[in-house]
Amino acid sequence: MECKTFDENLALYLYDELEAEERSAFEAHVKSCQNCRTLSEQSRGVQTLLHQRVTVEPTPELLVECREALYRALDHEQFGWRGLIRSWLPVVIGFPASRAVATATLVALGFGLGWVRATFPTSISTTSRKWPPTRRPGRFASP
Amino acid sequence: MDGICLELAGKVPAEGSRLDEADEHDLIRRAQHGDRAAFEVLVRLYDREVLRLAIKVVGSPDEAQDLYQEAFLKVYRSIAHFRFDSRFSTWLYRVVMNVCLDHLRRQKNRNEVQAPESEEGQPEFFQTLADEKPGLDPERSVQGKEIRQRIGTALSQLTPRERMVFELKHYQGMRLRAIGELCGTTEETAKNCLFRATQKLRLALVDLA
Repeated sequence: MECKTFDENLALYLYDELEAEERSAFEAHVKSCQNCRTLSEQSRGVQTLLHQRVTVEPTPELLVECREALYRALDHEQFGWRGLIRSWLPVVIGFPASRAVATATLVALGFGLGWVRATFPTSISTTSRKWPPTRRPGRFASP
Repeated sequence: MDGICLELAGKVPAEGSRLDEADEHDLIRRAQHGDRAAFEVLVRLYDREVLRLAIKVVGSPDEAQDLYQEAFLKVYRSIAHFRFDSRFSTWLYRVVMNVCLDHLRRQKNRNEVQAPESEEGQPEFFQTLADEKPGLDPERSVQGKEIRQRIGTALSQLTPRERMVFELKHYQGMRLRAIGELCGTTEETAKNCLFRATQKLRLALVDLA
């Protein structure tokens, strides 16, 4: 085994992720190579050190507080606008008549808007622009 | 029949213990049909582990509580899409992983240095398991605190994915294949993350080892 291979797979060796044959090759290399042995010892030392990190366990009080906050959020989810949409949308989509009603509503809305524009045209602005725009003489203007 | 009644009736084991697969599938199907009590039973089966993982990632009970809520709300909103093609716990922890990863990425983007874990001011929420009695050996206590701060700083230097893979491997003892599945990636990617994480940690902490 080369030292480069040893270095690349050292983490797998330390965390017992190597197959038996690979592990044997590793251990044989460690015995024969001083540099890799030092590297392995350093890595083991760091691995042991990392276990000094404080392991914290959530207390029952924290767990209860988290659950209560979650249940309040679920209430809001269930009875808020998102929940209403979630509960009513399948009904609306699944009900054939409702699709026809939605289509008819959109068509009526379109016609309604058109009627409003035709009956009450937009007022003419007197500030800068003239309507209809004045035709400037150009290349195609009649002589 | 709400979740509490199910527990009293012996139908559902007490929180933290596991159901057999058929009972769990039944709960999931009921939750998918809007049974809130069934969903709450699922929450109580897994939430201690979820909270423990969130605390490991962020170190603060307030932030861990936010991640806990965000994860379970995501599960609640998307449980209808669970297809029973994996274990529910795998799917749940994948959601938790993504929530934690997003949190770590946001922290990195804000260039916040993750505060080292501290037992001060939060005795009511954390039970610390380190064997430490400051009253008996102050010098050792100070050294221990410095080491933990260095560890916290070193861990904060990892990328979010490296941090997650390392946490799951070193502190949870999961196999790399399972970690890859949980993080939505391959075993090879998890191996590479572990390699980079251990390299960085060794460089940062070798003088203490």
